[in-house]
Amino acid sequence: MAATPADASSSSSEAVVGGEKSNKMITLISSDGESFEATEEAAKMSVTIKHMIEDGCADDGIPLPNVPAKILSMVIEYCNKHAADADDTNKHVADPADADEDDDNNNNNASAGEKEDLKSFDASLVAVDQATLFDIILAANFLSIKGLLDLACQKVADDIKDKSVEEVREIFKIENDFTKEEEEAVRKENAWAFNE
Amino acid sequence: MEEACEIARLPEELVSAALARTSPRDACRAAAVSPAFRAAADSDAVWACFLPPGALPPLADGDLAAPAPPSSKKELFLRLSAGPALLQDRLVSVWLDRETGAKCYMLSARNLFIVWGDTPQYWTWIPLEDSRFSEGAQLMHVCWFE
Repeated sequence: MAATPADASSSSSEAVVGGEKSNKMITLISSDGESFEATEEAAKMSVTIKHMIEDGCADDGIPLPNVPAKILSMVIEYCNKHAADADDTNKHVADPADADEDDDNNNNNASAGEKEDLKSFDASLVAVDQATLFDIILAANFLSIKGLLDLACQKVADDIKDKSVEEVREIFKIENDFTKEEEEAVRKENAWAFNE
Repeated sequence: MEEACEIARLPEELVSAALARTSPRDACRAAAVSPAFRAAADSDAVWACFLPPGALPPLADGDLAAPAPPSSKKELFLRLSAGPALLQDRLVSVWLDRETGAKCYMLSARNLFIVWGDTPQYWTWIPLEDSRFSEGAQLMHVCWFE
């Protein structure tokens, strides 16, 4: 009896596939003193937090003095979504005995749909003002969450690509503290990049 | 009210992490934005991402080391993308595409398998003055075109 895609995703957090996944909740405390709960699985997407859990430092909650509440809630949202996705992938891969072709197709379609959802979730997570985006980068770096750091850095890269020097300064409000001579020298050194 | 420059809050390594995801052209332009951007844009962290992964095949003596070996990954990239460098066997030259960092190869005629290539009625080998390769193949006579 094939599970529907909806069932598959809602039950993924309880499914135990292969290795053990505890449903233990971890408390994370933002720099401004707010407490957030996350599953251990989601929290461990942060290598920093993973090490603290493994070192037994997590029992009374983990204080994160570098991460304000607004950013921490976004980070946790990211971890929840991506931990669930990793779980789903494992779940689909772990059913090779399923000989029913129809079921496989359903699973593949669910996977493709979920990948699209994840992509659009990721895109909207980083479609924020610069202050927030850089806070996310700093938090992802501090917490060692590679996927989130890559995502946020790529967003900054996309804002820089194909822009002129003046446009980059404008977008990021960067003051040009080169002297005239210094700027000329840099432009000359990199002349090929300025020819179209 | 003046808007703050938020990107100034990022340490150089994180600005480099973002620039590494653009392109060689963008990274060279970024160097002209400000001194801080220049430091991030010229860093090895960025140019290591534009260079091909893994080591390059060994180059013919002196081809890249003159007048001095490259002092940074950016310099290495720019030298490799400036023109072909002969490999040690002197039959292949390699360079990088400046826009994408892709490896490009040129093969000397001697490295190709030319049917009847050693038969003087059909092909002769001539010295090349203006090439990195020492000789080329000149077609003398066609008897069969497929």
